[in-house]
Amino acid sequence: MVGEALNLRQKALAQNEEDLLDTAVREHARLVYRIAYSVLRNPSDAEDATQEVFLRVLRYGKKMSGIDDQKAWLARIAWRVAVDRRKSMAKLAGGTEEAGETLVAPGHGADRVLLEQERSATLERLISALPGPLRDALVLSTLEEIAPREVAVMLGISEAAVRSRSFRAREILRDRLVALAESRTESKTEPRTGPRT
Amino acid sequence: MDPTNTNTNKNKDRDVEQWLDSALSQYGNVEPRTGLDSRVLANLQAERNRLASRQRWWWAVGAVAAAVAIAAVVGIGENSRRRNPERVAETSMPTHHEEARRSIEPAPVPVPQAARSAKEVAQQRPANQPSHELAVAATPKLDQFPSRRSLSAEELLLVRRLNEPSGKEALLGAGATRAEGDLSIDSLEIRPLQIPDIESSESKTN
Repeated sequence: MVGEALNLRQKALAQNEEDLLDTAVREHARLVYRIAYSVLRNPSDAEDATQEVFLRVLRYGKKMSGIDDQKAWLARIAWRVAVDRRKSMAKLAGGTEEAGETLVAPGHGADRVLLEQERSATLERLISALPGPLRDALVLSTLEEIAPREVAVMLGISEAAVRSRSFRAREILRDRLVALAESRTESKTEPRTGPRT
Repeated sequence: MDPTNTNTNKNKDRDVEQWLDSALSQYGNVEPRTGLDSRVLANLQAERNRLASRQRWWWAVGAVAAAVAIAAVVGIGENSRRRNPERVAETSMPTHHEEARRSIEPAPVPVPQAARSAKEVAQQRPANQPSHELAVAATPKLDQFPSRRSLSAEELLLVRRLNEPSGKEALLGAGATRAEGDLSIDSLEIRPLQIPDIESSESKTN
């Protein structure tokens, strides 16, 4: 009788854990995907990383019922998984991190799509050229679901450091954008002296 | 400084700032392909099934290993029992010889002091002899001589007789007189060889 009761209780707990994990997938899979995408900049890689995050939770993870803030916990795991994948991909690619695909929001006109594609590509290049700590803080700050406090926990730094790094990253980006815009303006106003090679 | 230039720069900075805000919000605003949740859930369910089947497999392997271990232990025990059956029988039940000896054997005869001391001296180990040799000699070689033959009733009587102080001399003396008796000849007469005269014999024949 006691054994049966224990067995039933274990089954109920396991079922409860399964339900909790399924609920976490439904609630936070999008956030996990976004975090992975912000690091990997590739939809397929981001989806693979998302699958890996939840598989890790299933295989090695603690009891979901014992986690206070599941969102922050999953966000940390997603960040680690994505960074590990980026490192391994960089090793496979011979040390160069490739820029991801450009992201275009559907449902716009052709000129708008082209403009956004160009803007995304420019921004990708500029962000990938940032120093690593500044880039991580900026990229995670752009995700609207994550508060600066959670970003600080994920990166292992203080909240003030997150704000400061994001601010510095934005300054660098702004300066480079201004420089880029000026150089384009100059190249447009310059008279053509000879035939293009 | 030209105020128009300052205004132009301010406008430019504002434009860049707006552009940056918009681009960064677009940068983080990505949507996964539709059905990400269901794909993840299906993958999780497949992993759960795989883990469950692996667990069942480990249980089966564990049960087989335990059965093999038990069979090995039982087999080893049986083998050792078959190898030394006499020893087991000796330790478990007394033999017929032992029972007969117990029934015949009288109360222990007191050994005289001289004989006992001589026996003790003979049993004493020499100083240069290692102890393990004695131990080897003391243990019977059961694998070579599996059944030790106990003394028969006659032999036991003879041993008793020998252990008595006067019995030994009496036995030896009796043997010696019998041997001498065998050799003694009561009356032996050897007559001289008589050779008949040759001439007389020839004349007789003619």
